[in-house]
Amino acid sequence: MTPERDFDEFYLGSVRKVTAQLVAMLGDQGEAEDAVQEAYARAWQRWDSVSRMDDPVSWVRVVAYRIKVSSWRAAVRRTVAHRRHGPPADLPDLSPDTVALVAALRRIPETQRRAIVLYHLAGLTVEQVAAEVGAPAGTVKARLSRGRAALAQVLGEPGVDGVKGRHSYA
Amino acid sequence: MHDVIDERLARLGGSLEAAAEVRPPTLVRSRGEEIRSAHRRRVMAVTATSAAVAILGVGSLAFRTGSGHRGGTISPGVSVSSSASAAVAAPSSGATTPSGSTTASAEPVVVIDVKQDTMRVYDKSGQIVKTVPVTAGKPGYPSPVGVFTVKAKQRQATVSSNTIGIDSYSLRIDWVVELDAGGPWLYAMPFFDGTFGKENRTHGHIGMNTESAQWLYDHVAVGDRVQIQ
Repeated sequence: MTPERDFDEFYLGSVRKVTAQLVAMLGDQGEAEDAVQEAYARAWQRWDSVSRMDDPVSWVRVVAYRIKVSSWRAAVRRTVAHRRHGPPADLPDLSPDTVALVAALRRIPETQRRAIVLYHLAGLTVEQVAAEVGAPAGTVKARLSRGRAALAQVLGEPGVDGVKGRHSYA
Repeated sequence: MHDVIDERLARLGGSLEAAAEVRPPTLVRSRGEEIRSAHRRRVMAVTATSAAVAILGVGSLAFRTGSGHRGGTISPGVSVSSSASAAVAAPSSGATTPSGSTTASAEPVVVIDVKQDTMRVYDKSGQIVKTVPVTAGKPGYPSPVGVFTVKAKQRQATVSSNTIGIDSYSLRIDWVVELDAGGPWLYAMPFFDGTFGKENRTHGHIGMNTESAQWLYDHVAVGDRVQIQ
């Protein structure tokens, strides 16, 4: 199998999931898509080593996340140009519930949000989350339960039971 | 404890996945190869103009192309009869137009039906030569309708954007037929394979498979009329 086919398979098999996770982490579909594309481009740039990693998807996700974080500073400057040339609207194709949830995620602290997305959306274990974000497992557990509580509070819908309840993260 | 939030988070992944816009791997790879070249130019968004459209998922035809081409003479036969959605349309100059090729036929040579997702190509005597399945602007990004004139053809075009913020994209598209008056471009969209004739998927431009795009490129002349309905 050629490296091209190998990469294409990897890309097509994971890009939707990674994009979804980054949208939830960053709260902006356009930005997330751009960061993810850029991360995959960089993966191809050094495909020799990335393809041999235990978890290339994790590598791409981390790179995409860093790309976004490092571009935050430029964000204000870019906003103007972005409005003029950029995507007409955020999250155009999403259901109201999805939009509400993404908006709610955006309101909880960043580290908690990232942990929640990795655990609940990406389906990683606490240990895997810890490895990806570079924090001890205990810290990740705390971020998860605080983040979840914060999310419940932000969502704050009447009828949502157990909003105060502590979810146990194994 | 079974919790509503868990369920909602579980569903969130799926619906975000469904909405994710995915560029074709070839484009991602060519971008990766571009990074390799140490020189990273930052392309000004302004020079992107007509560019930033379509495959980048950026912008729609709401902002008009053509401001990049000044000077030269205004092509004869550019009568703008486009409908409201195609709007103002300053007639673009023929800066990129080869001279002597403005033998526009009165009748449209190409008729694109954005509802049926088909493109019919006629010869000068009005006989259908070919019917091509296409994809047009998706809901929210309708392709402009009306009668347009082929302004220029490009074997290959580069579109760029700096929406990444730190780097610029520069991507190549093939077999491009440009229309005047803010009309869409017609070109090969191999990355939307599977939607041709079935689904509108673009941000306003008209896409078809590479073979058809090449065929169209070879068959239309600058000045030909294209009707989009």
